[in-house]
Amino acid sequence: MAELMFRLPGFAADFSGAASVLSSMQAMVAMYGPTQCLKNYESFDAPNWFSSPGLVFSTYMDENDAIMGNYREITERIANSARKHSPDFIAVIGSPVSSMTGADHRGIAMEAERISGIPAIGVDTSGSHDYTYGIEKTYAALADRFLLNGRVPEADRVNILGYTYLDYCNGTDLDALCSYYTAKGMALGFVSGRSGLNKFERLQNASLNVVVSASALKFARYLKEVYGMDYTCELPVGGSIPKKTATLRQERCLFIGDQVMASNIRTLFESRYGVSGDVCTFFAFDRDLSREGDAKLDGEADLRERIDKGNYSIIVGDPLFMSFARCQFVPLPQPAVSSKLFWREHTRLYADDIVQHADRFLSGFL
Amino acid sequence: MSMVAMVPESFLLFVGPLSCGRFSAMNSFGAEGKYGYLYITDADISLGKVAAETVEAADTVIEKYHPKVLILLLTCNILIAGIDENAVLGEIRKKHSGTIIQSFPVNHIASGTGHDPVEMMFVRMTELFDRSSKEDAVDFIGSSMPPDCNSDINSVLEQLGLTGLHPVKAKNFDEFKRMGHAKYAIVANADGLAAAQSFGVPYVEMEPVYSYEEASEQYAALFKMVGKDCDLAPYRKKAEEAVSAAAEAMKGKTVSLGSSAAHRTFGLARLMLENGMAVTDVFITEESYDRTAENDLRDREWVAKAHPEVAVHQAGDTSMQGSIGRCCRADVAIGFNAAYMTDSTAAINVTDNGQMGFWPIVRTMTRIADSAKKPQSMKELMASYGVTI
Repeated sequence: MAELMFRLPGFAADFSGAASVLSSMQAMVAMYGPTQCLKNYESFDAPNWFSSPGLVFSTYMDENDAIMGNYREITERIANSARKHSPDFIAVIGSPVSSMTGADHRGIAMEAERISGIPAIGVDTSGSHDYTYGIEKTYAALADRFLLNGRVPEADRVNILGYTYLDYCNGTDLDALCSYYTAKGMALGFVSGRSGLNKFERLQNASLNVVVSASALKFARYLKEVYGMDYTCELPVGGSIPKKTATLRQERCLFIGDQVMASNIRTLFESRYGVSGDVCTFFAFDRDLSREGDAKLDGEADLRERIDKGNYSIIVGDPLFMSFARCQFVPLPQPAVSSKLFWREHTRLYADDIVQHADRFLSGFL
Repeated sequence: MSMVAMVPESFLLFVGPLSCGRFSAMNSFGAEGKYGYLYITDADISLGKVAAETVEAADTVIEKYHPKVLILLLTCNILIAGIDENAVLGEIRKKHSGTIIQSFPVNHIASGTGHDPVEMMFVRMTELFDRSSKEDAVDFIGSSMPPDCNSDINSVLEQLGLTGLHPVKAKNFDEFKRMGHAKYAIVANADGLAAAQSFGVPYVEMEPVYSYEEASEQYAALFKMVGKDCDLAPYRKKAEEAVSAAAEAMKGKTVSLGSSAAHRTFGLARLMLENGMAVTDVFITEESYDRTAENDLRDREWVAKAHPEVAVHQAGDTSMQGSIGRCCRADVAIGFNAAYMTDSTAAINVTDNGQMGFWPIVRTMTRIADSAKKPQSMKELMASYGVTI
C-alpha cells in the first residue's frame, strides 16, 4: 500500500540495507540499476562513505539495458571489476528498475562467478521496501551460499548479528559490545559490520547469537532452527551505570526506532526512571518480541495519530520525529531515518553515555 | 527536484519507490508545504494501483495545501511499468480545474537519450509558459542558477535593450509564466537545448567557456540573433586581469584540477597552462578518456600535445577507488573530486553553473586567487559549507 509523506523523508531502502551488510564484509557490490540508485546509497545511507567508501559500484544501467537486457555485457563488466579488486566475494543487488524488468540477480551473480572465479551471490532487492528487508534477504542469501555444513560447537563464542551504519551512527557501539562480551570471558565469532566471509562461514559454531537490531532476528531464528543456536535480543544498554529498580510511575513513554534497540531502551527507562511505555517502529516488527501497545507504524499519519491518542509524556526517537511531539523529547539519531543530519549528536547505547543523555533530558521532568 | 522547485507557487508530489524519494526528501528537507512523497511498492505496481493512488494523493495535496501548480514527478520504474501519464493528469485536472497540473518524468535510465530527467524537466517547464504575447526579453534555459548579478551578460543585455529572465528570479507563478513572452533564449547548458527547441524562439548556446575567443564567439552569435551589438573590450580586459591575478597567486604551486570545478575541464586546464599555472593532474568523471565531452575535445588534444606531462585520471574508473587521497601529489586541488583523490592540503571549490561569456573566466580565476590567499583543506572547505562528513 502506497504511503504519503509530507514531513518525514523516505527511510533507507532495502538495497541500502543489503549494501551496508555486504560492504562491511569486503564484498564487491554491484548495484544493478541506474547510477542514481547508487547515489542514493552513497549520499545518505553510507555515512562512512567519505572515510571508507567500500567496493559498491553501479552497473550504469541505461534504457538499452532495461529494454534489451544486455546481461552478458553487464555480467562481464561486473566480473572485470571484480578481477581488478579481488574482493572476497561479489554481490549483485537489485534496484527499482531491475526488479521491474524481472532481472535475475542470482543468475547474473552465478554467471559473474563463472567468468571471474570469485564466489558471488544475488540479492533481490527492489528499492521499494525499507532497509531491514534488504538486510534480512542478504543474510538469507549469505547463509544459503556460504555457511559450511555441520556444526562444531565452541562454548563461550558469541556472534554479533545486525550491526550496520543504518541503525548505529558509527563503530563505537560495536566496540563497546565486543568489550562487554570479551570482558565476560567470551570469544568473538562473526561480528557484523566488521567480520568477513572467513568468520561468517563458520558462525554456526558459536554458542550464542546476539541480535543487535530487528533486521537480524529472522536470521537468528533460522540459525536456531537449523543449528539449534541460542540467541538473545537483550543488550547491555547503559553500560556500567548501576540501574535503580524504580517503581513504575504513571507517565507513558513512546520509544520509536529499531524494535530491538527501542525495547532495550525501554528496559533501561523502566529500571532507572520507573517509566514504561510502547515501542513503535517503521521497520521490521516482531510480534513475539513485543508487548501489548507496541506496534509497527504504517506511515507518517499513523505516527501522528498514535502520538495524538497515546497521551505520552516522553518520546524517545530520531530528532526528525520531534516535530510530531507535544511532550518531552529525548533525541536518539538513527541514520536509516535522518542519515547524517544528526550523526555528530550520536549517543553511545552500550556505555554510560545513554544514561547521562537521558538524565539530562529527564532531570527536570521526573 | 531542485530544478522543478524553481516553479513558484508549485507543490511537488514525488511518486516512486522509497529509495528514490529518500534522495529528494533529504535534499529538500524542511520545506513542508512544497514537497510530498507518495512511496509506491512492488505490490502497488503489480496490482495496477499506482494511477488511482496518485490521483488520490493529488486530491489530498490540493485540499491540504492549495497550490497554484501541482507537479507530479514520476520515477523510472513507474514509467517502465507503463503508467498512463495523460490519463492520470486528465483525471486530476477534471477534479481540480483551478489548479495547473503538470508531470515531470524522472527517468534516470534515459540518460544520454535526450530524454533524461533534467532535459525533460526544462522541456516540461517551458510548457507552463504563457506564450500569448512577446516582449524584448531573453530566457536563460538549462541552468538552475541565473548568471551572477555582476556577470557581463547582464550588462550586455541591458545595452541591447533586452531583459534576462530566469525561473529563480520569478517572484510568483505569473512572473514565471512571463518567460513565455521572451523573443529569444540563451541555452546556458546543453540540458536546456531540447527545451529551447520546443519553446520555438531563436536561441544561442552560451555554455561556460574558458577562452577569450570562445566567449567573443558566443557574443557574436548573440549579436547576430538580436541584430544589435556592443563593445566587449571592457569585459575581456576584466577577464584578462582576473587571469593575471590568479597566475600571480598560484606562482610556484602545482595544481590538480577536477571536473567538478569546471564545465569543460580541459578548457580550464588549457587556460591555466597557457597563463603559466602549473597544472599537473586532471580528473575527469567520464568512465574513460575516450568519452570526453565533444566540446572539450579540442582542448583535451591541445593539453595532450602541448603539455604531455599532465596526467589525466578517470575518476569514474572503479579501480580509482583504491587511490582515494593518494592518487597524486599537488599543492592545490581545484574541485571536489580533485581534492578527494589527491593528497593536496589546499582545496578550492569553483562552480560555473549558469555562467556565460567572459564571466566563467572572471569568476573562476577570482575564486582561485582569493582561495590561494587563505588555503583550506577539503574538510575545512566542506565544514565551511555546513556539510557533514
